[in-house]
Amino acid sequence: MNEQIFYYIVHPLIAFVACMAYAIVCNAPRREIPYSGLTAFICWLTYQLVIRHGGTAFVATLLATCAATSFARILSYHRMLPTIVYHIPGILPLVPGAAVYRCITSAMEGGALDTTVNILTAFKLAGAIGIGSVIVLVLPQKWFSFFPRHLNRKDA
Amino acid sequence: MDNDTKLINLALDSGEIMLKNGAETFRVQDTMKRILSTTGRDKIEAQALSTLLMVTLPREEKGPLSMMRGIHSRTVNFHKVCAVNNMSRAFVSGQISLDNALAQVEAIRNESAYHPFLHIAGYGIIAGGFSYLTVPSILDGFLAFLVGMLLGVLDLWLDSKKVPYFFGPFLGGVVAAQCACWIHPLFPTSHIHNIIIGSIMPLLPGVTFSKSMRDLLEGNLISGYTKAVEALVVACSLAGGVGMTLSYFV
Repeated sequence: MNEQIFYYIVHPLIAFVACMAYAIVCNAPRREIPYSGLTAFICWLTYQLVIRHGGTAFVATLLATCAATSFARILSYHRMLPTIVYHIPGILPLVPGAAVYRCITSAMEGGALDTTVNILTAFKLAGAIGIGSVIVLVLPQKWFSFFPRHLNRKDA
Repeated sequence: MDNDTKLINLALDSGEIMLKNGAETFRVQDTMKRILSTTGRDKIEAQALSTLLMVTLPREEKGPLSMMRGIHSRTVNFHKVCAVNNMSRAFVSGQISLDNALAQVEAIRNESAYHPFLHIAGYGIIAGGFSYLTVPSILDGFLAFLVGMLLGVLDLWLDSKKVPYFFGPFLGGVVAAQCACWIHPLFPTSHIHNIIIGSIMPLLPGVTFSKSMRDLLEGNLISGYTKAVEALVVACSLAGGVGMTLSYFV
């Protein structure tokens, strides 16, 4: 398979499906589940674009979080629901599961230096998610309101 | 009950449902303040900590009215958050009456979640998907899918029991690592690491951590701090569960 198709289409599609599943676990409203997945698609696509063009994991996580949070805010205005419904499933692919696992294994093997480095890496990635979200969340709402509101909904 | 007591109860009920089901602290405070502001009084106050809600309605004629409510369990249910959000929006804009709003909140509180089967399948798909994203191996993804489904069953089972909040991730870590270590000899081409990384993904406190960062930087220092500590405890108990099991096997 072509490498670019794999990383820029198949990978984000898997993130899309996995985060729709996460939205179900989080009991998101039925109609919002595909939108949560779409946020994750954009998030993981940004991450792969940055990583494949020579960015570090920190920068890629930061930019992907910014992209996902911006998209979540646009959707939140459009669908008239809280931002977290799209934001939290959207940033799930960035949660540093592999880094946490490396912390566990290095702590088990007893290398103090390795363990410290891995813990710091995990914290750095988690911090990138936090900072990226907050940077976008404090911007004025006006900048995210270019899709008109979806007014003909029964429950709105 | 007079109207003010009913209103304060509405604010507390809405806040309780939102806080219990994973809304941000800022949104909980904002919703409660908006509900109280329909009285037209000034100096109303609504505070939300991660385990406590406090509201105050100063009344010049009858003396101030203040109530507080503790929050004892936390889960994630966006449907309820959205429903309360829509209800409070309708109430503040005057579309529904106070009694109607109270009845709606009670209905939202008792709404059921998705079918348990969907929940279990969701856990499986998350585990399989993220295992494949970390290292593209279809076999590992499939095995992580099976382990993830088991963790979904475990999560549902623990929901019905009264266990401390860190026990779920701990047991999840133990079960994920045990399963990965037992499955590995049956499929020698699989990797224990990939299966475990995928299957602990739904248990990691990513939601709590990102919410805590947000609270801290927005100035809700107490709830931000407590959430950060909660995320740390959950991550450590998950790591403890996995590490304990792995050190026994490897």
